[in-house]
Amino acid sequence: MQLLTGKPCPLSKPSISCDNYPVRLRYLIIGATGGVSASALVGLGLFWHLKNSQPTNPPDVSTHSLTSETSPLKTATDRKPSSNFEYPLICSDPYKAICLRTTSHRDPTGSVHSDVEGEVQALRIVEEIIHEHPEWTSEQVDEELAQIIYTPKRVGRIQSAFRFVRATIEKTIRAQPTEVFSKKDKRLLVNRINSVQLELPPPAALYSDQPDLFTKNDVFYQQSTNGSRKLRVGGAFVMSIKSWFNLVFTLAHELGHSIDPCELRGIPPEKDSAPAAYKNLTSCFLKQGLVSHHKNRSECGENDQLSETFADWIAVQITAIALKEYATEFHKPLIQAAAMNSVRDLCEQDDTLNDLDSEFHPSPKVRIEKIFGNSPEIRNVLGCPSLEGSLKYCTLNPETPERPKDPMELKK
Amino acid sequence: MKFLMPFIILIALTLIESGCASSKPKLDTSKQTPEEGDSNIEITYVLGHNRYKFCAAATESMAAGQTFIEREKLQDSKIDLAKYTAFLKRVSEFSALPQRTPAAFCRSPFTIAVRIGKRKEVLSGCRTGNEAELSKIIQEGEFLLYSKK
Repeated sequence: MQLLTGKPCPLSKPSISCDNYPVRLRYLIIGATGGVSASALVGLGLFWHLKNSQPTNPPDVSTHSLTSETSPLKTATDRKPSSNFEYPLICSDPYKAICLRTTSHRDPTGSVHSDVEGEVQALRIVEEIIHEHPEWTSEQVDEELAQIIYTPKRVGRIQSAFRFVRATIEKTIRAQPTEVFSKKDKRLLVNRINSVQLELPPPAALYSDQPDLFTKNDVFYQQSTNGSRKLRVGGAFVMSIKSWFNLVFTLAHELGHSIDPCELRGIPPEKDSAPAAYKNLTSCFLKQGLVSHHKNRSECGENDQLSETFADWIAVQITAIALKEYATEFHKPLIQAAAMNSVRDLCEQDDTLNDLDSEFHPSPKVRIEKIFGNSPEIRNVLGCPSLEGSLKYCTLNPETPERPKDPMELKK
Repeated sequence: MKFLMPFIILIALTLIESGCASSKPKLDTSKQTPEEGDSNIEITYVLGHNRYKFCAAATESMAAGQTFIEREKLQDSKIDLAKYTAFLKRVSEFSALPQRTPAAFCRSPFTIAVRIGKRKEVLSGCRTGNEAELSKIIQEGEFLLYSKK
């Protein structure tokens, strides 16, 4: 205002005369315009970032039938893919897209670190505790370790994911037609799922019979000799897995073991309590090479991958539901990152010296490409095209095997 | 003593390498008791989808240990000799216990190899059925790696 009144500019430099009112005013207007524009851009950018990165609470469970057609994509674009349109690598080569990238993926809920990283972190904490308290007993060290690793926030997150997984598996079981699961089958499966306890320290005494778990990167389903079923989570896993989708896949895999075909064998009073639909599923797994035909394979015995394949298959269904729920909130690249993170840790098992692991688990390539990547639900949520040829994804219902649907066709 | 230290370190490292490679011990002593002489311990086990290995070795004056997950070394350090001796005794006693093997096949096998002087014992078993004791031994071994600052 001083400029407009003609009064001398108290802070003007000698080279700038207060006679140059129009010039000064132009500079003022330009500067003000620039400042407002910059603020607007920053504001827009912040709004966009917040919209895409803010994690939401775990989604509500939706009903989902493993034999029905999938619902239309909520994030599918309206445009038809042009002839030059290229689907992302995860559609054509999921193993390469997920495992052969050197950089880690970050989805809105976090990322996945290597097994080694988590275990080294856990051992560093052990080292600090022992050096600070050399006189402590191993029980005291365990208690301190449990307090440091299993924080209320981390434990709450795992518990929340577990509740989601358990509720989703239950709903999925109940949604099956009676031709797939009878009422008796549903009752058995739901009871088994709901009887699994998630055991998380503190107190450290919960793992007193397996204290080395505190520094291990794994999640374990166990059935004790007294019949109790529980899920335990290694301390290194708690520290290395940040992505909620990986948590969902891992917990769903382990919880899936409580109802896998081998686990259900020998349950009284029947010799084999597994639903009849499991036979169809097992047969499909064998036909498609999801369960290897080892020379001396004994079903549910030595050299058999049926348990692990089934657990992976269940985990894929549940993860697809989780991804579908978040598809309304995330843009496509973020959903792809979330999907990749959900199975990212399976890649490391390709490097293992452990022959025993390959005896009971399908190879990472089979798990990621065939069980995960060929799933119609996963392909739909990622916007991938349907698979060509006669490849049919394994389902419980042998009469209407689920053929992956083209997401573009669903919009018609 | 200071002059001899590099040689002692070299000997201890040689013992560890020979133990972890599961080859015949390079040093030959006639000492038989757990409290004296050269010794090494190697424990390999499967947990989840990973294979782990813990190695420790000692001469009369020092001890060292390492732990691995698959090909990766997680930790490598000197060990308090008195604590190593107690650990060696515990592992030897565990190896002598009757092992409980589950009726079904084993998905989490373990092997413990203990060498004391010329004497070597190897025990293979299943983690399921021997869970508690083996898990505590493994944890004690991990803690041992931090027993010396």
